[in-house]
Parts: sequence; C-alpha cells; structure tokens
Amino acid sequence: MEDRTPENTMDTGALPKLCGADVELGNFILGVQHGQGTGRLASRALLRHMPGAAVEVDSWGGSSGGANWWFLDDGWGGGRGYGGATYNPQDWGRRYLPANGGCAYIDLDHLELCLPEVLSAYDHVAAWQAMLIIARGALERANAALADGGRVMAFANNSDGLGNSYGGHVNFLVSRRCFDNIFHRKLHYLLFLASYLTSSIVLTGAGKVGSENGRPEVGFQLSQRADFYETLTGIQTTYNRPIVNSRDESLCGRPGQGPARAANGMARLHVIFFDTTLCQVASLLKVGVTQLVLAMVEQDRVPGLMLEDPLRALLEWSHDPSLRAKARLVGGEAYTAVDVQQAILEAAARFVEEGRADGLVPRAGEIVACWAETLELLRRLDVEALASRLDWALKLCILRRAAAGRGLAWDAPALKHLDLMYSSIDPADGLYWACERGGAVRRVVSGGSVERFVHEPPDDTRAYLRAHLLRLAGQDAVSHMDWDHIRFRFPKDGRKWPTYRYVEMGMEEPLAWTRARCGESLERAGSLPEALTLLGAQETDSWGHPPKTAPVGPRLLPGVTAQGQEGLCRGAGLPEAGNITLEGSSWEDQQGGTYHA
Amino acid sequence: MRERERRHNEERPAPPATAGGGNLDGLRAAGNDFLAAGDDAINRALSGDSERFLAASRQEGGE
Repeated sequence: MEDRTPENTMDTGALPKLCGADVELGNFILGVQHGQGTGRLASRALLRHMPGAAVEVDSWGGSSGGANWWFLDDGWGGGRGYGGATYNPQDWGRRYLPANGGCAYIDLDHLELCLPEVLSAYDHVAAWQAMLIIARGALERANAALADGGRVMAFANNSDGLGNSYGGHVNFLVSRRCFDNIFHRKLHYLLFLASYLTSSIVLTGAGKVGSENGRPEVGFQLSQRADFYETLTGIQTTYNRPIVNSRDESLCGRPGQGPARAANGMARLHVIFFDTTLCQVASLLKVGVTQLVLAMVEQDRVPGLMLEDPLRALLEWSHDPSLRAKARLVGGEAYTAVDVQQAILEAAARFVEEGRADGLVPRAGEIVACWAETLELLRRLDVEALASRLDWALKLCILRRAAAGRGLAWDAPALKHLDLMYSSIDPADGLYWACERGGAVRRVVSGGSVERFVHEPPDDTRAYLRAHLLRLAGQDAVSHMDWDHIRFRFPKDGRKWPTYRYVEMGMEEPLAWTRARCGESLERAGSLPEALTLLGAQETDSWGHPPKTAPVGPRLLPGVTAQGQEGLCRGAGLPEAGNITLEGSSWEDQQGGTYHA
Repeated sequence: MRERERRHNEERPAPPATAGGGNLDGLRAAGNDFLAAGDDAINRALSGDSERFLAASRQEGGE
C-alpha cells in the first residue's frame, strides 16, 4: 500500500482533502414591513449576537487599524463595518470565533457562517451542526432583544422561492497542478467534475417546491439551486452562476506572494454548486464523496463520464423526483443521475481499495459504503427509506403527509410555507429538527462530537492555532486577519500618540499549525507575545509588509525579557536570535510612528 | 442552551443504518411513525397566514 502521509503526497502533488465551508443563511424579520425586504436588518441583528472577535479583513491587504472599531449601522444606511475601511457588501463585519476557529460575517444581507477547516467529512458534519447551534444562540438573543411584533427567522436553505438564491459553498484543498488541469489544461477533467456535481443532486439536493428563474413549472424538485445555474464554468457567484466555479483564491498565501497563487503548490477549489443540507448523511456524502472525487482527479484517475449538456441534464434531473430522467453523455449513451453516480462510485471504490485515498480522505471506506447503500435505495426509489438520509426525500415525505391530510396541491402557499420551515434553524419550529428529535434521521456523528465543535477547533488543521491565538489575544490585539494569517498589534510605551508594533503569524499551509505542532508551544507560553515568539511569528508594518530596515541583533517581543526569550527559544528548539525579529526599526518607526485612533 | 440539552435528552433512537434491503419494510414503517413527530410543527406553521409569510420571506440574492 502506498505511503500517502502528507509529507510523501506533497511529492506526487496529491494533498489531503482539507475542507472548509461558507454558508449563507436565509434571514428576514416576520412582522416587519419594509419595501426592500428585511434581510439587511435581520442579518445585522443576528451578527450582533454572534460570539467572536470582530476584526478587519479585506482581500487586498488594506488595514484601517484597530480591531475594536467594530460598530453596527442602523441596518439601512449602508454603514461601514470598520472605521476607515471601504464598505464591502460581500464581506461586512467579519468576526472570527475563538471557540472553534470559524467565523461569521454578512454577505449581501445574509448571515454567512464559515466553518473551521477540517480534514474529515465526519468532522465537517459535526462542525456544521455545531455552527448551527452557535447561530441558533444568536437567533435566540436577537429575538429576545427585538421589540414586540417582530421575529427574526433564519433558514439553512438556498432560495426564497421568489427568485433569489444564496449559497452554501464548500471548499477543498487541491494541488496547483490539479487546479490547473481542471481549468487550463485538461478540460475533460472539468466536464467530469460537472457530471459528478450535476448527478450528485440525488444525494445532496435539499428539495424545493416549485421552480424559479424562468425555469419550467414543476411541483417539487430535488435541488434548491439547480434553477440558478446558467453556465458551465466561471469565477462569478452571484449571477450567471457556473456549475464549476473557477475562482482562484488559495487562501494559502497572500496575494503578492505569487500572483493569486500560493508558492507552496496549494490551491483551493471553491465549490458553489451544492445545496445546504441538514440531514447528516447528505452532508457527509456531499463532502466525503467530493473529497474522493477530487483525490481521483488529482491523481489523474478520471472516469470518462462527460455529459453532453450538463446544464440541461441538471434541470431535467432536478425536475424529476421519480429519478427516471436520462441525460446523454458525450458518447451518446443515456444515463440517469443515479447511473452516473453508480459509475463514479465503482471507480472510487477501486481507487480506495488500491490505497490511493490513504492519508488523503479520512474514513474513505466508510464513505464509500454509505454512498453505495444510499445509491441502492435510490435505485429502488424508496423515498420513505431515503428520508432518514437525504433532505429532498425527507422534505418530500413531510410535504406529502401534510398535503394528503389537507388536500393541498403543489402550488398551495401552505406547501411552500412548509418548504421554507423545513430549514428553519430554530428547533422550536424547524421541521427538520422535529423529525430529528423524533428519531427519523440517521446520525453519523455523536452529540458529543457536535458539542465539541461548539467549543473547540479541530486538532488537525490550522484552525487549531487560529482559535488558540485568538483566545490568547483578546479582541484589542488583533489588527488584521484572514484564513492564512493573523496580524497582531502591541502598543508602544512612552509615545505621545498611540502607536503600535505589528507581529504577523503566517499560516499559509493549512495542514500545518495543528495541535501536534503547536500544542506544546501554546501550553508553555504564558502570554500572546511568548506564544508568537515560540511559533516564529514575524514583525511587519501595519500593512503586513516586512520592515524596510533589517533589525540588528536579537529582538524582543513586548513583554518578554531577553532572558525569557532566550529560554523560550531554547525550549522550542529555535535559534536564540534566529529570525525572530519582533521589535525595532519598522518603516513606521522611522517615519515617526503611525497614528491610529 | 439548556433548552437544547433538554430536547437532546428526549431524542428517540434513529432507525438502523442498514440499507441493504432486509429490514426495509420495518425501516419504512418506523420512518412513517417518526415523521409523525413533525406533525405538531406542521400544524404550528400552517396556523398562520402562509401568503403573508411568503411575502415577508423575500431575500436579497446572494452567492
């Protein structure tokens, strides 16, 4: 069996299939009338009650200074999230969670929940459920603070039924070579991915009453999102949405350190296709099967399954809950979505048996088994049995039950109402949660695993270090952060104006900075400066650039004496002076300091 | 949080994970019973004005 430990897979270009997720919730206020809708008010009310440290983030590296400049506008005025920063409606008010290393912010008037990076699909399920618990707490607090007559509603879905869609994205670490093959060198890889994604709606569709976006009328369809895909590939996410998104943001090294590309050979596939799922099996398969498929693509094990017209196939498959609709492959054969999934499953099973997923996809064998079981139920079209696993099937059973008892047709407003209420994150009225409490839903992770991710980060990704550094820092010490770095600021003493020294912890490699690598240093450090010293953080200016003037001799972090630093370095196996240049002659110092107020 | 924990303790066991076919009838029957747990939630949802609810639920288009 091949050795596919992270060290060795780096040589072949294959990387463990790290997964992140950024999920927009539907949110509005029931009982409040406003011509523009109430999404803006609702999203801000929710974010206000999310835990976490509000920090400035922007993708172009700008900085406006203090992390504690957070304020909320009145919800209508297009206010700014941070003093001096440009208002960005797609990334407003971001706050990272010291509890688990995830974050939350507002994207186009939706509360967006970002999960901490995980390696295992099972951890993804637990982290997603945990983030819903955290958001549920914010929902309860928001409603407690709301005046009588209004109620904030939050949904884990992707469409309002009125023609507006919002995403539940998942993101996967792939090699740069793999990314370039998909989008720039081997376009049959892209077509295979499109075939995989479109056919996956039989597993990951959340179900929807009716159609949108000018699509043909239908009573019930498998997918929330299918009506909104209009092109095969592209970088955009809010219009003319592509099945395979080609946005190239590695989040493994900042722009400027290789144009839009990390120098470490890492890339990130931004998958905008999937529905937001609540059933644990559906969530497991969404991430676990995609991990396997991408591991296959990365190792050039790509089945020759290419749909002749993926966009047409997607619509026809989604609009046919009987699962009988067929779509043509490039070679002329006609396949159902289940046929395509079955063919991919068989290739993936061989791939796993050969040991090619070892070290890349945790619990690959279990994922394949669950996938095979579920496809068998799909072949039988056993919707009642599938209801314990898949959202579209559970929703269909609920709606049929409600319709039968009331004589409702598919176009009845009551059924659309129930469609939306299925995904309410409030356990008091969410239909999914009622079924879960009743035991109708199969679980793949324990309540303990979920609870763990409410309070703790994963041990095996950089989310571990992110969460622990934020806990040490408190809010005032964080100047700027993104997924791959955190820049801290420390006040300089004795200055007339408030000035700061900046120290940046780079976390470009998401597979490093784990408990195994950082746990001992974090335990030994008694303070944030000590931890940064031990972890090899670098001094920067306020923009994150290296100091223009090289420091002379060993430099000290604020609050760490020379003897203390010497001891810390020895203890961590670092050179005593080393490259730890954490105080001294930054450009700003030479210019007389930078004013932040 | 206390409310969530209380509900968690009341949860009933999920149906067995077998899918190979042997226990499918039982699985379906049990599933139907379990789905009845959603009836109260359905009734609560439909006790209001669905058309008003749908009009209020309009969202900003997102990603």
